[in-house]
Amino acid sequence: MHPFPGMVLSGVGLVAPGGTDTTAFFQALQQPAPETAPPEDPAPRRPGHPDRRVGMDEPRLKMARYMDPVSRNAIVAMRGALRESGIEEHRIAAAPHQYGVVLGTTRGPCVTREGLYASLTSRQGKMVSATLFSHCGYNIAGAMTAIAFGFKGPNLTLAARGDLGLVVLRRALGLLAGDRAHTVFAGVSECDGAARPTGIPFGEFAYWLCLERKDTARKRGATLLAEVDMEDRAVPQRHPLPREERAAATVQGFETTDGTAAPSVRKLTFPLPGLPAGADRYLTLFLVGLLACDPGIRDRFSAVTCAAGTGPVATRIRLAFPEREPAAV
Amino acid sequence: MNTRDAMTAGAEPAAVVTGLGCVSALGPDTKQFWDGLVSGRTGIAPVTGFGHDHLRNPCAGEVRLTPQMVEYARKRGIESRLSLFAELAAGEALGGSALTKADLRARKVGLVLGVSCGMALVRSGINSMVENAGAAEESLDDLTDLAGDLADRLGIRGEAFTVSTACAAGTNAIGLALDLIARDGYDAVVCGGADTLDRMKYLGHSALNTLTPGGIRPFSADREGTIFGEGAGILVLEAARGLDGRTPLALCAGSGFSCDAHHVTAPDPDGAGAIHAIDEALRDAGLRPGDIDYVNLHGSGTPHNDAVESMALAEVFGSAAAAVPVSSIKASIGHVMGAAGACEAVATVLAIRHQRIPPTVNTLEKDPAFPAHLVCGQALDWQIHHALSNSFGFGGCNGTVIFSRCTP
Repeated sequence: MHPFPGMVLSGVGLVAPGGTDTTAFFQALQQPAPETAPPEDPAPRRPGHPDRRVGMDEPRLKMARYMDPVSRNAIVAMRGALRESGIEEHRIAAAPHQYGVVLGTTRGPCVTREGLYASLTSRQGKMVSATLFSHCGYNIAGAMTAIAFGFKGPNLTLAARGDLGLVVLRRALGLLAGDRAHTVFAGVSECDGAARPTGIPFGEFAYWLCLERKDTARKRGATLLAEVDMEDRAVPQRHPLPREERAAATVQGFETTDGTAAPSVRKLTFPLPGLPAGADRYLTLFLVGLLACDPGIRDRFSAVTCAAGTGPVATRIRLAFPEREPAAV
Repeated sequence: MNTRDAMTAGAEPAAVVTGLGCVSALGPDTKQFWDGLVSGRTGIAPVTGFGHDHLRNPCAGEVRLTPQMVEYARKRGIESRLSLFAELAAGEALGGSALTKADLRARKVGLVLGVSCGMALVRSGINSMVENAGAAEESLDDLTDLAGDLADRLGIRGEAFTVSTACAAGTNAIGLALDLIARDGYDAVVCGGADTLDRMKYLGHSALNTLTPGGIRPFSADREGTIFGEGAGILVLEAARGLDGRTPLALCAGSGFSCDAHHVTAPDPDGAGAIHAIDEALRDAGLRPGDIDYVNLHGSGTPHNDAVESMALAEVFGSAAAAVPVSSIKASIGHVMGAAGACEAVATVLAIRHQRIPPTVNTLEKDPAFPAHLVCGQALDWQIHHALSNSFGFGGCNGTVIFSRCTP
């Protein structure tokens, strides 16, 4: 069964502790770089957090400076995804309801909630800031991203145990398959809450995959990163899924242009050593982007197949690199 | 195949409703919910769970925990008010569907739960409605395990996730469940929404002036705002092919999603998002506006939301808008936030089952500027083949779902 045929990946955008460079990010996922602040930065970043000034170089995005980090980073990362996929403002304005968002988040705007509690305390428990309260919803990052870029299609914020990234990806492809939008951004925005009682740094990052219907992408002349085919490996089974269950993904194989399996496979180790703390639940999203963007893979192979998810969501994903379609056998 | 094509071709539609569950201020089950709605009763009363000082309105649709509910929570080890509501409603819905534990093991069954802020701002406990002292006290802010825990308790083995789209969450959850059945090959999905009241939410809505200082009067000319409530609404959607002789309650014919992309709290004054969600649901169901016999309104009672919803209905239904009966149940149970769309879906299905439209409590006369045929005063017996339910949330998230009567 191929529940989501005919979809393509056309762009990736992100904000991570190292900045917005996707190549550097995917390299760091496989080989972490040391966390140090640049010497010219008088205010060192907190480990696991990007420079708060990143992306604030467009007048329209300057409004994002005042937002919760989950919203701010989601907007900056979206700008990168739009740029990479070549989707221009006029296309969105012409058909805004064709652009949707599926966002994964777990704790939502925790920095805003900190501010909300502080506003209550500062007002002797009598009232809270209306602005901060209105920004406390878990869907705030998705909503602010839609407002920033004019996306009027489905706007969903999801949370799940285990491989949340795979759930996000499946729902995004489901919206495309159901003709609810012709372009859907699947992603994540998370942020550490400084007062987290466990003391474990969570990290701060935002990440988007731009997914489109193949016919739409080809019609606008997009440069495709990969065609995405997905099918359930088996009827999902929960045993139940333990609370501590982590996302898992494996690369099953690479195909060469003549359709044969590659004799030597570039190894990817899991869990990816450079994965931001707390981000393992988004492993599948990162893996899809990594495989589609890595020139070492795209130049050598025509397709790669992965098995993703555990417990309830067990899925086989095949990424085919369009310019290197295997010859008919 | 959409509903219209299916009905024309004599084929089975994708999804049907086989079970309903509801916990609300009107009572801990669907029967008390429906009896209260059609009797014109309200469960809105002065809140007992937190103090009234500094609140714009001291009333809410609070769920009064019965001894049975407390004992259920104790036996099941449930420490979250939200989880309690969700599990009670889901249990009722699954019981009504006649799906057994063996069915849940053998079939592909998932769970989609809508929630807004949930209990992010309050301490753990089934009686907890008081806010955390600060972020360091937060223990229920992480949505990761909410759906998964509920799925484990119910014995559901498929995908289980939460959708958090503010006051559209319940309706969006049903729309996603419909897609899981129609396109992902699921046999059944338990879907809906749950939410809880707490003092922080009331302080926040007092600051925003979304709370009315008086009564909630949806679609009334003198409406001033809404009143919030809590509870859960759960539906069991199943693929029609797997009914094995069971009679469904209704068809789940279609759904629509959209985003205003306008403002965090205010709706798009042009109503484009609301119009699109309704149009998309009609397209998904293969229906025309003229096929709709009843609209369950979002009807929150705020000046802007009601005006935009009325405008959207006028745009979609055109001159027929005055003939389509509409009603809001928010004055009966309060605006239950993430559970609103789901409780209203339960009410819509029951309206179809009983061929009766619940009245809009508190509203004596609709705003003359609105063309809609607002049902108020008392319940209206009406022939309903297709009914539509709207939900519009903060962040501009919108959802519409359509249910249809099962033909014998």
